[in-house]
Amino acid sequence: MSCHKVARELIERFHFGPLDRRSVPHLEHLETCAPCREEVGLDRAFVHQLQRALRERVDAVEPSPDAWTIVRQRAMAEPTESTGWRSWLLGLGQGLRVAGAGAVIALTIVLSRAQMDVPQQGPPPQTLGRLGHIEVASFVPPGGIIWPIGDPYKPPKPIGPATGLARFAQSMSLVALVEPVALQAGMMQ
Amino acid sequence: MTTQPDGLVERMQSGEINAFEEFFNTYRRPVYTTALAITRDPFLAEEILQDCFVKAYRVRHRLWRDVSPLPWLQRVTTNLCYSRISRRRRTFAEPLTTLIINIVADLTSRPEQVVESREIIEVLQRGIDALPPKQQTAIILYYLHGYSLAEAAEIAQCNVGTMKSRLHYALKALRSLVPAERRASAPNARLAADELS
Repeated sequence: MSCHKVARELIERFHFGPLDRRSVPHLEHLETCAPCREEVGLDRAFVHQLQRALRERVDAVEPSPDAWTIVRQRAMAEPTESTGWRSWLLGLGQGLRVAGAGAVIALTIVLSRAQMDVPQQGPPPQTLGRLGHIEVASFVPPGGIIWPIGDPYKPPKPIGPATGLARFAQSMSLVALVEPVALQAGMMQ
Repeated sequence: MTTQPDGLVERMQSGEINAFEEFFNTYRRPVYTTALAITRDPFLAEEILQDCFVKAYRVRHRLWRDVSPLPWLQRVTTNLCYSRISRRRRTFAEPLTTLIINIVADLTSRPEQVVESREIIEVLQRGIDALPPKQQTAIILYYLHGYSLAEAAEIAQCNVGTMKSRLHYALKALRSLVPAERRASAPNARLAADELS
């Protein structure tokens, strides 16, 4: 029997259970083994110190003499919890309220997810300007993000509202610049 | 565990204020001890004691007549303690090692053996304060109140194995704070070793 095992088992027994027949060989070993005795003794000392530390926290301190008076006053002032079928009904009502709130939250989550799954369709293209027979157009989906028409073979990339506005202004100024020249040159009607 | 005087809960449920007073006097000491051991603040412990008994009176119709209300009272007490001190615990930022060093430094001028013993107790006090609430409750119920494992488990609403495990980890944490050579030099270490031989 190893010393470590003996000491560990005895410490466990001392802590959590009464010593019984199974502890006899351990105790016999303890009588002859000074290191084990030392280890178990240290643990016993440690438990004594722990108990002393715990007792010091509460020794010589009592609740104040008027504790009962305060408790009585407060207890009388507070409403007693309902009993019998009233309590049952109140509990049921409370349960239903909680269940209802939970259902509303769940429904909100489900609906918002379902809405996110629907493919977003932008409004029809708005003509922003005309350069000859070319229309300068953009999709303006909800949320203000402008989807510029670029290469028809590439899917459009979303751009932020600031960039969209800048491009819009640029295209308008381009139209404003080009239109008089084109009119003069007879390229536009 | 404190036994319940005959018909006490029943009389309290029927509205007898004297029964409530008897109930208070029967159980106030263990409740206060638990609150004080956890909070280490007599005023806070007193408030928790009051809250606990006011709650007991409010829900008196739910108390079982043939079972001791003490496990329930202890459970309410520990819950009240941890809800009250949680804010304070969050601000407890000073590392434990620093505290221990400070304690050691403060005690250097005293007679050696007394210093050693006092020092260990102080280190243990800090260690108990720093334990997670469940382990702290386990230590207080088992080593201060002397409840059995089953009783402590009932109060903490866990099984006996879990209670044993909490105690094991709490002791391990506390042991690690007090080195073996210090424990050996404490006056009662030799006595404990002799007691076993």
